[in-house]
Amino acid sequence: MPLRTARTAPYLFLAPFVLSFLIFGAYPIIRSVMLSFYITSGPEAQHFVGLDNYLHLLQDPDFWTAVRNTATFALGSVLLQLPLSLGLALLLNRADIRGRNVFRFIFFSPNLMGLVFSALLFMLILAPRFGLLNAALHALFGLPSTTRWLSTPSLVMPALIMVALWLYTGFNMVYFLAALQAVDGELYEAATIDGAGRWAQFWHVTLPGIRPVLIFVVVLSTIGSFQLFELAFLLLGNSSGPDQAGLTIVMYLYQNGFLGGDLGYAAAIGWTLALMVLLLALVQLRITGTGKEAR
Amino acid sequence: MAEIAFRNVNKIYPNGFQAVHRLDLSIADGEFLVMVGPSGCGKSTTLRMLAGLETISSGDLLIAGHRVNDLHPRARNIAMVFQSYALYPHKTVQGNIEFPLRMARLPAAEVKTRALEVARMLELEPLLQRKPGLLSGGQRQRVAMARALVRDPVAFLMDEPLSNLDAKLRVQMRAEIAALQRRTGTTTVYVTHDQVEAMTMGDRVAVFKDGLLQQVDTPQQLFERPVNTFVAGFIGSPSMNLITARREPAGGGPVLVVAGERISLGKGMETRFNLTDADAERVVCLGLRPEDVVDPQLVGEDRRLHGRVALTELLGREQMVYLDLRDGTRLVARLHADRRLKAGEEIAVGIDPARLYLFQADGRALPYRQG
Ligand SMILES: Nc1ncnc2c1ncn2[C@@H]1O[C@H](COP(=O)(O)OP(=O)(O)O)[C@@H](O)[C@H]1O
Ligand SMILES: [Mg+2]
Repeated sequence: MPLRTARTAPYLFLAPFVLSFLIFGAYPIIRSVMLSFYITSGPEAQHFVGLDNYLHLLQDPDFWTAVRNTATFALGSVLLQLPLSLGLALLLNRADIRGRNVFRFIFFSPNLMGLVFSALLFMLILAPRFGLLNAALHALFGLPSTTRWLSTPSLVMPALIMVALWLYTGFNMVYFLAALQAVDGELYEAATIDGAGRWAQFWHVTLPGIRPVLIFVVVLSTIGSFQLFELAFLLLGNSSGPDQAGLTIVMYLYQNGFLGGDLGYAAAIGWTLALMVLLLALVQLRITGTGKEAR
Repeated sequence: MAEIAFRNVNKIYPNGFQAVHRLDLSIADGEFLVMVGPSGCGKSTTLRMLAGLETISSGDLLIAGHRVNDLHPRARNIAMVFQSYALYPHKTVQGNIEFPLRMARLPAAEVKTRALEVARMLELEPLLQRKPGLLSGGQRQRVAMARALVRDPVAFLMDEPLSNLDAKLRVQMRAEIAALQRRTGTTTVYVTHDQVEAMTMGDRVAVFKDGLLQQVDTPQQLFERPVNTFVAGFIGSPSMNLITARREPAGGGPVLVVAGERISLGKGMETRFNLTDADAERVVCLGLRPEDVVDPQLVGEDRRLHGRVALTELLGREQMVYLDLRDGTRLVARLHADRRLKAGEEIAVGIDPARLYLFQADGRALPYRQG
């Protein structure tokens, strides 16, 4: 009898996780794959169509608009955010900067606010006539203070990128700070003695030292950018902006599935997005050569 | 020519702690100078000031006659081996060795030949494509040496380069580093806390204590003519016995009273000191190396100390004897082991005046006899 107890005990301990994973993880995944092969109208009416949803998606101009917008956002965010985060981290990692901790907190603080609050804040900042941004641009460069950031097609994505910059730069900075602090300080001294200037030290000591974190942050922010939804939703509402300039992939999924009621098509969009993100991450890891180092 | 000179150099850290006091020290071109002292005595600080990694609070640092206090480390052309080696972990051994040459923007072909040459010299050729993480401690040490040697620096600085190696490898590398230095003839400043390393490697040895340079001399001079009780006790292993003594007025030459017994110094001519009466008066401390304790039969009745054996340690052909003298003072003696002594045994030991060291109240040695 004790033997049997000993045998079953591990399974009993694992059961809560396995069960909840099966119910809340595996089942929805499988169900959504199946769903993507149906045309649905609300939860009841379902009609099997095979791969039609996917084929239709590939010819859906709105979907491609969403892909283009999302890619623009991802590229803009990653290319602006990460260098800025790293720059701030480098600056705040120096021992001779006074009040480092205060600045670290300030740059990180947007993450402590709710997304809704941030969106409200930026609605005010981006407001046409009395917004802070227009006022500043007007005061500094004499630009007209009537710019309608969120209702001019060409300005919607730049505005979103700017808000994301404000939101996430400090967060990524914290990753980089941690990585920088893990670099052996003696390496900089050795490099100095070996004749390396600041730039050479950055290139030969800092970058290789923070590489794993750098790759992690790049992949993570790319994935995060491709899942952009809340920010656009909060700033633009269901409308996805003028000329669909703010239509992102997840927003399109939401419009189809929850406004239009075609959960099957929405599931197909979701799975296509997942595949795209997976491919992107693999390409990034491949380019950086992660996973095949001799160490 | 690249002699190095510290002129009245002080180092005060930002927290107000003074790590180096009034350092005056000249290092000749091509010399192998070892800085030695207990941990925290300011050796690394001194070396780092020389490298340019620490600022100099006051005083002058001269290299080849030029003041370099404010010269950037890169401009000093000094190579350094760190205690932890500080190898670039993502570069191969070859990449590490080539790095200083690349930074100097030498032509690629020359970089390669010079790196190979040094790798060959240090027997690193088979390891050139490995990363440091896959090397043993001894191999890493060699790579660090190679990275320093590949340049043509004004001086090599080494901060306890062997302290992370096991004892056997340490002895081997000690000899190799000394040989390499002789071969290249480059001025070398070597820091260690190990007096054996210092004594076996250095042309001259600088002994530090609490940020103060105590003595700079050849190993032999340090051993035979230590300037004070600190140097006397630090140099030599096992450590010198330092025992309270006083001079007793007596006819027929100076007499020392040690542990309640009288030791005749004869006319004082046998000792290494210039024992004018005034000097001998100031003696408060007698130094005697354990190996300098002699067989009582070899000296007269007036040169013996008596005591009880507290403890012995056998060292093969010899034994270390811990002796409690008449007044309880501990004396360590290294004696022949043909008759093993036992704890509790009462024995006599002989004192040879020629091998004594004598110190004054402030710890300084009495003036040594000239020549
Ligand atoms: N950056 C620093 N700030 C304050 N004190 C320091 C600093 N670096 C070293 N010290 C102190 O200076 C003294 C000498 O240090 P160091 O030169 O490293 O000694 P050593 O190399 O001889 O062991 C030590 O007491 C150490 O605590
Ligand atoms: Mg040290």
